[in-house]
Amino acid sequence: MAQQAASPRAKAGPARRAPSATTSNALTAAAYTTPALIGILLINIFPILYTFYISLTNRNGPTHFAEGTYQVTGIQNYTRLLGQTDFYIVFGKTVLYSAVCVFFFFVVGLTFAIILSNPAIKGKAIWRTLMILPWAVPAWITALIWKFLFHGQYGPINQILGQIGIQGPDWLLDGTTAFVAITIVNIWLSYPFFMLILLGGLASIPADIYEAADIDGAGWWRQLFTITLPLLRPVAIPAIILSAITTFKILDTVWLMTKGGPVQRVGQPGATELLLVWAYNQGFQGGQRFGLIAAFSIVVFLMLVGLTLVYTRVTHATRGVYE
Amino acid sequence: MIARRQSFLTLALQYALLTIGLVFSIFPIYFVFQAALRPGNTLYSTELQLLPANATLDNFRYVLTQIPLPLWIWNSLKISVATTVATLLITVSAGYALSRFKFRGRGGVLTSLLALQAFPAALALPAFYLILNTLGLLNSALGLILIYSAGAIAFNVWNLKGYFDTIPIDLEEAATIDGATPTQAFILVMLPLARPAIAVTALFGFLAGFGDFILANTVLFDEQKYTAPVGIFGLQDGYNNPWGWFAASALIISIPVTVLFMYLQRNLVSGLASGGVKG
Repeated sequence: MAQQAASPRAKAGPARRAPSATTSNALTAAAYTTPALIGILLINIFPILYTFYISLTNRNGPTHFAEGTYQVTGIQNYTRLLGQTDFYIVFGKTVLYSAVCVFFFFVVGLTFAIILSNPAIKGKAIWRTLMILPWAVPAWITALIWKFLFHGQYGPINQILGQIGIQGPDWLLDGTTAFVAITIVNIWLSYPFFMLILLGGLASIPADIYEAADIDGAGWWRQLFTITLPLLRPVAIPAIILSAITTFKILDTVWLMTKGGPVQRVGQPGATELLLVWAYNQGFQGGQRFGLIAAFSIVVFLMLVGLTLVYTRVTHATRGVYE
Repeated sequence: MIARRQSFLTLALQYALLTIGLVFSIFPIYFVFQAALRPGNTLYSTELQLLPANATLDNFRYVLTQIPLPLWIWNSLKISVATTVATLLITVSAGYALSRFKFRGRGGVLTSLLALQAFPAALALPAFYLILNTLGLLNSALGLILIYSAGAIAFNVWNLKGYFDTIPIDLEEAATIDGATPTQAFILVMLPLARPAIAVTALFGFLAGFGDFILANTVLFDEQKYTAPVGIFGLQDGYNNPWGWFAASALIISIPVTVLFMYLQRNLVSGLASGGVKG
């Protein structure tokens, strides 16, 4: 009895303080987060809701986005979008593009990260600094530069190939080579990010693991697959998923280089018309099919939210919150 | 990975790979540099020339005096600096609060932040147009600042929260015991410790302001209001304008961005890796 009586009183102390601490915490937290919250509501959430609303209407213009007259037509845009073969062609191409790009980001980034972690290599800081320069150049400048580099006649790429006796293709005028070109440009833009992230990851792997593997007689490749890659996972997987999402949403870089072309057959998506490029062309470059594009945005959004949820699962990104 | 007992050959191979990577990274930038120095239309030659013959500063002189490039760069700088400041004010405090205060629904907030990133905002032009039109901010720098700084909230709050999580809470507690208010502890103790993540946020804020083409191209109508990307987009049409003008403008524009980038790049590894990416 005495114990039972004592224990509630012992708890009473912290229990009485707890509400006020929570209230003041909540107030401080509110003060610190309110500006972000307002920004998110206005600039992130409102456009999503508004886009959803537009996706249920037959709004087609007018050109300069002023509110015109349109009616709610239900899910018509969705059935039209998902009933189009073009959508699936473009979708498949975008998945392929993202997979190829991210594979190369990782392999190229990892190669240079491994070399730049090698203590025997001299001048690491200089190599690293020069190699991440592409990251500093605004992407729209990058796109326009590469557009010229790939030019069939005046572009230096073909001129260099010509020096060694190879007749280069008209890169951006042929479907396959245009696709290769936008892949190369994206690797150029993104491998520095992977290189830096993986450099950080490699630095966190303790050296004695490799020493032990050496003693056990494991060769370089074996160490790569049994030590380095598994231990890089926590750093690599988030970077891979994040850049897969970014690549999936690529727009300016490709649009400025090819406008989605070259068009192989009239009325069909161009060779480099990836999802957003296709939508941008349909919606804002002539088509003015706002309703359809809104439906499209919502579909892409839902797919990427799915991918994001996988991401939080894989990385336990919200871990700690419930602890 | 630590490589041991490296033969001359393996080392040579590694330097060779580095050189290839370096050429890949630097060549496009070098090409623009030499293109900017070439006179007139000599760039449109089918012969490979990697060193400009008769190098001249004409292209630079032209874009700086004959077209409003300085004004466009000034507009871009204004927008980028304001975006950086606004982004920092909004996201650093929010990231800190999400890291330090346990309140109900925090897990939901974090997941939603990531999910919001998934929306293809580039296609929501009608929505942004409506917002800016309603606020009377069409064709104005302020409208772009609003959208750029608010648009990057999700990623930056996420990244900063992750970084603050790695700083032991004892440090603030020690400061509080020494008589600091929570706000003082935040400003005097935490902010200096979180410098890498803050630097990354600032860099991304600045790049957001300097990098956007599509939105700026949609909501700016007045040549006097153009940002650099919108302004010089028209210059790269090689049929009417020498590409040298574009090259010179691209170089001039890249200077402030690159300088800032090089200055802050030391922080990139630590500021990103321990924050958003590790989660």
